Amino acid sequence: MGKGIVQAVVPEAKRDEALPSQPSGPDAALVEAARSGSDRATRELIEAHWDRCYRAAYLITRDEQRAEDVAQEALLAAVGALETFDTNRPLGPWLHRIVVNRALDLLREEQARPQALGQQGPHHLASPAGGQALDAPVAAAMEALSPDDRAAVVMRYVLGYRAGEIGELLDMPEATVRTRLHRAMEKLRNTLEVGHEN
Amino acid sequence: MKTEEIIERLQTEPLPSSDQARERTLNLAAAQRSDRARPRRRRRVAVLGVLATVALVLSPPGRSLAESVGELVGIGEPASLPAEEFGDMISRGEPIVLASGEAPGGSPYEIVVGKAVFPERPEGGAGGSGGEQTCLTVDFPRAPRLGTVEFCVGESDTEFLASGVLDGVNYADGAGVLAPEARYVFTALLSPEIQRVELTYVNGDGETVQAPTDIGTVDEEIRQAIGSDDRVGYMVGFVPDDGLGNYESRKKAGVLGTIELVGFNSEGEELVRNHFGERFTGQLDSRIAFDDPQVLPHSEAAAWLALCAKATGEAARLLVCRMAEEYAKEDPSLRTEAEQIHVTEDGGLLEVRMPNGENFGMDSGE
Repeated sequence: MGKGIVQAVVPEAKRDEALPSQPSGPDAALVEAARSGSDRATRELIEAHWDRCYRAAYLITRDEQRAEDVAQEALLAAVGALETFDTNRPLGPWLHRIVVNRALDLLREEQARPQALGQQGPHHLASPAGGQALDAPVAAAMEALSPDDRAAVVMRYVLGYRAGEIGELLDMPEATVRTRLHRAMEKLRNTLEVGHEN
Repeated sequence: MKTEEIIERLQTEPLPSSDQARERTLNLAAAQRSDRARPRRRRRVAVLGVLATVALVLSPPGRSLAESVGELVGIGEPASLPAEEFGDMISRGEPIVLASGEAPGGSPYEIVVGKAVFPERPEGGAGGSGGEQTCLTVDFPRAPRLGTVEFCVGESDTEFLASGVLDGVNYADGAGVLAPEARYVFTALLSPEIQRVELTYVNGDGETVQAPTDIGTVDEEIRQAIGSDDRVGYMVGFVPDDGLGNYESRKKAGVLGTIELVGFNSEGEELVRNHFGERFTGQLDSRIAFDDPQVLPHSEAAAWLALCAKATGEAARLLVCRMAEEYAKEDPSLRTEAEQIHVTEDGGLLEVRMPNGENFGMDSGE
């Protein structure tokens, strides 16, 4: 699935430690040190990955509390499994898998619960930012996308994954990922334009 | 706002402070670390089980929805779905109906097909080349749009669709949109020789039940109507709540955890079987296993072994081959399985095609 499939021509996301095909880089040394019992290394590992995990979780869940829970869960899982971690593999993708999967699982549970209670619609979530006034129009516009589309956008443009890798994680053909990304970005643009006009 | 700016803001826009949560996580991690003295160990490769054959209790009998309720909109007629909501590409043809019927509970549906023309991208840009694509989706004209997956295939997918393929199985949750009898809407892309599908699940009484399904195939007449050369099919199936309620997690997936789809040709021969439920529930387990970097699902480990021969870049070889060989030592059957996996290289991307029709890609490492 490749030649005939198109995605929007946009700049690539910054592909740092999150890039799955890259060697593990500086994380490897931190993992080794944390394995040896260094609390400082463990702390550095968490601090190095927190912002990215939290941002990804927030943009998918659109909810501060859930994003915090997801980021915390992913990082504690990482710390809990350091003994078995292969330092030839990068830490980022492992964390991001947990973050994206858990964020989507939370949203699916959220979709199911209100329906069972006969309450709000499936995509209703608590208002973002817990009522704080934020200048975050793009994060707010993500609300217009389905959870899977949000996950695809975050994986592509925040975490720097390729369409094939996203498809693998989200269990959909690469062509579909490209289509969805294209459409999601167009929807974001339209949502932001409408918001700007209003 | 331009796309570049949107991406920039996705990466940098200020979010609510998470400092307290980060501090809490640091404290929890410290407590977790001091609380353990686990010896280093290796876990065995997770081997995916084989599903036992189940006796079918047919309810309703295997029939297509279109047959059972009559067609609402004729094949080849303009779809109810407005063109601007279909494909959403730079340009496209008018979508037409490939199949239609009523979902359990009464909502009319239309399987819609149309041609989309993707823009040619500049040389060196991201993604594949542009071109014409055939896109398919299911639409419920009298209900809000569900998040069903729209598939698009093009020239380069011809080989992929040449043999029994039931790909991209996906579901949308119809809660609040469709009747409880059609709680879950399953869709998938089919290779053209699949003429019938069976979608089964296990109900609350432990019986295996065949769910109503419908398929649409892009035949010669349709291809002419939309101006496409792509031979492809699409299925839709409806699974009820069946008293199992909502799932809390994939491990308690209820009816979703038991779904199986089978594709048959016109002679009634089974061409492909998709253990969706096993994947759905097992996915959590396999992801947990995969989260432990020492353990891969069996099929994935075999794929790594197949990839090893093609991964030419130094880093990729180190990464892929080292792991693959290690797994193969533990489980020699992986070598046999790896021989069934087709790996091709295309512009720096290795494409892996699994025997069950699934595919994925990774960098060649060059």
